[in-house]
Amino acid sequence: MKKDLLPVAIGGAVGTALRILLDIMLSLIFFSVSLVSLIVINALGALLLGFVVAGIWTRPKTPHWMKLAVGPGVLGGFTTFSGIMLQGLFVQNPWATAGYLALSIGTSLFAALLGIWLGTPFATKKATRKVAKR
Amino acid sequence: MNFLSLFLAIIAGGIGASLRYASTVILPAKKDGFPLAILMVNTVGSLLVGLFTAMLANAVLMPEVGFVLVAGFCGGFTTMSTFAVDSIERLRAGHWMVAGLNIVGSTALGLLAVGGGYLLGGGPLS
Repeated sequence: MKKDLLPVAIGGAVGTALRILLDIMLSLIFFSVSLVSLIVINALGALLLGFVVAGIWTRPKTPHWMKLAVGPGVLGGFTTFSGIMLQGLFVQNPWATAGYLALSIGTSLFAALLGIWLGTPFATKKATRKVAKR
Repeated sequence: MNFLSLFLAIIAGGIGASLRYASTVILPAKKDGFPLAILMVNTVGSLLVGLFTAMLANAVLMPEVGFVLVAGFCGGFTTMSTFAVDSIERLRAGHWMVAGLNIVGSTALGLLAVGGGYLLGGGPLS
């Protein structure tokens, strides 16, 4: 496990940097707070993870360290659960909190589904090519 | 936020991600089983975020330190991408109970934890 921690740590640092920078940029476009930007960030991260997990990572040749660096590393560090909960707390109205959490988690779940759906064709591509060659 | 706090936040995010990964290795989820490690990580991270925010509001923490802990550590430690993909994979495999329990449980515990952490830190109530 010790060997596995390095790619996760480096990936996590990269993901955190990307999240902070994108959060600042998106907060300038939308509101001055992270309400909207965190939804966008989480949806993007969930979409990309679903895409690779269902697609190219099913190929046996994908290096283990790359999966670790990108999965729990970059995308895990990029997306945040605690940030969403904090924004939900700050809304300070029970209905708005419930609505915000439902919207945030709903968009992430939908993005993951979309990512898996978009990624699945890439999982079989190589296998079908091999069959065609033979 | 200055350059140093941004740099330290990025390092803290890497440490948070490593701790999250270690938790999933110590407490591995079976295929299509309940992803307990991620639920625990997200709950603990939410508690910490509430606690740090209250300490920030009470000026116990310097804003720069708060930024490193909240945006850096807690942000890197907790994850939405793995939670979402785990839930959808279980839904697609037909494990509705596991997926539903994970989605509702994570959200409810996360909200309780962030509120609890905020109260624990003596955050001002408006």
